Amino acid sequence: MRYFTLLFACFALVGSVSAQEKIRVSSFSTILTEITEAVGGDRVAVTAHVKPGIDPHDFEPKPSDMRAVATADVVLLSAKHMEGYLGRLKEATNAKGRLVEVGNALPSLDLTVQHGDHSHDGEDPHWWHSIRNIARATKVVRDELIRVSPADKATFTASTTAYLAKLDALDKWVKAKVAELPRDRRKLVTNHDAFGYFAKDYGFTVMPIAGVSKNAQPGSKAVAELIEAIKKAGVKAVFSEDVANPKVVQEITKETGAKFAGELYSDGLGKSAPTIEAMFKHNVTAIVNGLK
Amino acid sequence: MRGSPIVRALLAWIALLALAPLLTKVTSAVPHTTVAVAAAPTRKVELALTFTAQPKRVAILHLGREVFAKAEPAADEEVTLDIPWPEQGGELLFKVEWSADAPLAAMRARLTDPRDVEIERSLWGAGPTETVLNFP
Repeated sequence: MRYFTLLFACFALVGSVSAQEKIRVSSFSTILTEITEAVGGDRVAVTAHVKPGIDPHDFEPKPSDMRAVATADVVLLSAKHMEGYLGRLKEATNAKGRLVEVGNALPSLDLTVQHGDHSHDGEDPHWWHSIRNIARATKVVRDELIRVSPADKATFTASTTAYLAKLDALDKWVKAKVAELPRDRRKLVTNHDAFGYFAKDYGFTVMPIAGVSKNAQPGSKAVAELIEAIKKAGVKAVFSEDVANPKVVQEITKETGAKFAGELYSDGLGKSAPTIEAMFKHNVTAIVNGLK
Repeated sequence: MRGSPIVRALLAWIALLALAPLLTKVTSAVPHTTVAVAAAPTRKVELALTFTAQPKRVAILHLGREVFAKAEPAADEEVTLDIPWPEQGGELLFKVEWSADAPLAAMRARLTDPRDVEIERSLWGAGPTETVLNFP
């Protein structure tokens, strides 16, 4: 009997890591990297494949990324069709780690995705512009880390609670800042359609210049229609994004009289906004001050 | 046309200078006009506040500006605000300062908008509390 108990314990430990060994996490999102480090603390070793300032729409994993993925215990993805290389990652992770499509556990917003001369309805992948979604993603990451290292459950639960309190304080700050702006001025004109979740949570209407990707070039008819809409709505300011070409935005400001109110971080953390808190504070301050 | 090159160059410069205002007007960008946003007219918004425990102070901010503040308010307070209030409503930021050592307390806010529509919201807190309430 004792032999079988021992054998069962050995099998139970397969797939989990020992107390001394760090959990190896491969993250393909700057947002998920921060969450994992906050929840896992010194029990995790996170490889951040997508770093602040890198456009995740354009990111392509290199062989070194694939090697790290192959030995990871957990692989975290934004999901909602953000990672076009998902198939190759799945092949690379056959041997070991669990591939977690975090975004797929979160509610979705629809948007129109432009592909050259045609468009179709799809899921908005930019879920991290909702603090509520970041909180949900934090719980997904916590559960995955506990699955890999059940012995650390109390540590991960406590750090999650602390991180969720930080997110709650950030949400309160955003609400207070947005409350400085009259509701009829909450119209957000940006390079691409990335702020749908933010708009839903804080009562904005998004008027995107292009589609889901910053590389999508708007047609002249679409730009002319947008200029008319901006004039009609009396939008005071327009924004561009950290890694996008702001030329079209500048043209729109010239035609409408709306001012260019700065760059926003849309596709994750940026070099000058390397934390979720810094990203929200930068974006919300620019938006509110620009549209006041 | 004959004459020294220096004289011809000078004449050309004079001609360009004479045309300068016209050239500037033709080549300069469209003047940058700023979108004018008219100030919204103010309207009467009534608030009835009910506290489960007396706070040290309560303040209400609208669009980032303090529109009401009172130290040691009564358990029931009636407030009339004269503020811009569009039909789609708005938000008010409540700063309620309960004692830090007191148990969890609550405030109920009943807002009557200019169309006589009543909306009720509440907030909970212990110690200094800041919450934005949406109406509706």
